Amino acid sequence: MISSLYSYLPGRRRHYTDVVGIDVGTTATRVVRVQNVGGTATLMAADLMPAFQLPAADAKGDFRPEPLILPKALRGVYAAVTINTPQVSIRLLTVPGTQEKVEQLNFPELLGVTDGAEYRIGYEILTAEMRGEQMVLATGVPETQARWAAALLPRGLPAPCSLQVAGVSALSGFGYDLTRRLGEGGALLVQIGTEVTNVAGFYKGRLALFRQCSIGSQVIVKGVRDRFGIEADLVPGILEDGMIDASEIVAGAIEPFLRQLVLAREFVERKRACRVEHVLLCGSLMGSRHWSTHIEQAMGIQANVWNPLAMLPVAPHALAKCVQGKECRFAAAVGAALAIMEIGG
Amino acid sequence: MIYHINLLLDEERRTASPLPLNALLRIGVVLVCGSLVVATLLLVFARRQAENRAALARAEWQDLKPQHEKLLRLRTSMVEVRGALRQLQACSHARVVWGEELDNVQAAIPLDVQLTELRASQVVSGATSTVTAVRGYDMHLIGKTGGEDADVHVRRLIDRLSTPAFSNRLESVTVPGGGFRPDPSRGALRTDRVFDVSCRYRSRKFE
Repeated sequence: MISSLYSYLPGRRRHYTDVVGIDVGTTATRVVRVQNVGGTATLMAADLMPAFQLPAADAKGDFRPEPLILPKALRGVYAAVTINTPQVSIRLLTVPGTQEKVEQLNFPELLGVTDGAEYRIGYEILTAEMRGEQMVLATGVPETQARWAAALLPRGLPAPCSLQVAGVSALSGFGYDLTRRLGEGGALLVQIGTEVTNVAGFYKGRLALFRQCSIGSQVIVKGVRDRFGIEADLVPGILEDGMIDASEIVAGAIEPFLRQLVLAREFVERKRACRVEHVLLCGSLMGSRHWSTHIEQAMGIQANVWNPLAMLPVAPHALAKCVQGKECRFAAAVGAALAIMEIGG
Repeated sequence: MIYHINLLLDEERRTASPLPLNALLRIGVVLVCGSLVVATLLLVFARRQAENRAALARAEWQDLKPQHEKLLRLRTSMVEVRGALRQLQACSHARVVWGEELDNVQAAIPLDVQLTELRASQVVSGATSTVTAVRGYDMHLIGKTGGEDADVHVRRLIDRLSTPAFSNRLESVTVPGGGFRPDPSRGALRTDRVFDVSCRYRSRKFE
């Protein structure tokens, strides 16, 4: 009865000014706290928290996560939780017709999530580039994982107000930075995850393409581990230090991905009649040197690592020590916070 | 451009307010219900108290009723007595105290004047619903005197009646035409005179 009373209350629009973005990962959980200080989104704190193992997509039963207890500096008022699992599906759809037509779409089929597991599906209609067609960004998350993520935070502050998928969250942050720093030319954002890598193409600050590739940093870790017999935990450090020549392994591992990247670039350039001038990388960039080198070789464009924490004013002592050198992994956390604060590019 | 696809269900959302709206509504409902109950209890209590007070007042009234009736009777009789007293006062104010007045007249008569008759009359007039009645007195003195200075004697009498001892009461003292004449009685001397003095008193209101 009480919840039905809410509908009679006028103008119940929340203003989110103190938001914690939580990107739940299987290697680490990235947490940022963003506050609206005098109309400007300001990074108040960023830290890495322990990793979580999300339940399988087809797991039965009620899975409850260990509550994520945040340190005081990260305890904002509201929280936006974002997850990224191999089962998460994201598609950028071009739908002919009006908005009413979009509502009639069979999203499970379009998202390719008809494998039997229950999915939680959401979509957003983007501004159409051409008349008579709608651009729709749609996503599906296994219900088990969505329920798990929604119950991640204990009672009290911060209060969860948004559940997003990392691939989409990062777009908000990138869109915010893109028009300010790189202008309106064509750009590709490569979000490297543990098992999935997302490629997003932008033109004039708008999303023009989104692809998911089932290749992540885990492929490289596995290749190095198998070739050199090194424990998986040690691989990231060895790759960064350059103690071994992993170039060949990385090239072999990401070669299918590079082909898709080239195709993505061609698609954006053909569809938007533009040139892709920037390629930016973020995520779990194990052996980023190798990624950059191979992408540059494949595309003939310099690939730079994008630091999502550098686009916001940073409060003193906001970055924890463990964050330094891993800033590019916070794209989804920052983007999730900015998205609910409605700060975009 | 914001890319925000929120997959959180409404039932999974939590408010950041220390007192969420639904809790506030619940508290409000409880407070309203509580207030109604308290108000009802207070009304019932107040009504009972009023009934008790009314019963006490009725009992007290039963005790006081004879005294009250006696008081009413006394008040009625007091009003009557006051009316009578007022009338008496008005009459008293409108009358001349003839006992004192005769003593004064006696004192005012010169030795060589013999008062043979004193007549007093009164006229009550002007008694209407709006005008207070007034009483007017007239006093006629008839007497004799003699000698060469008979007129002086009468003049002295008139002067004495005009002194302040009388003037605050008497409006006029006159000798009417033919009021000073020779004494017609048998055996009277040539110089003997009879006189007639009319005294008019000031009108006195019955108030």
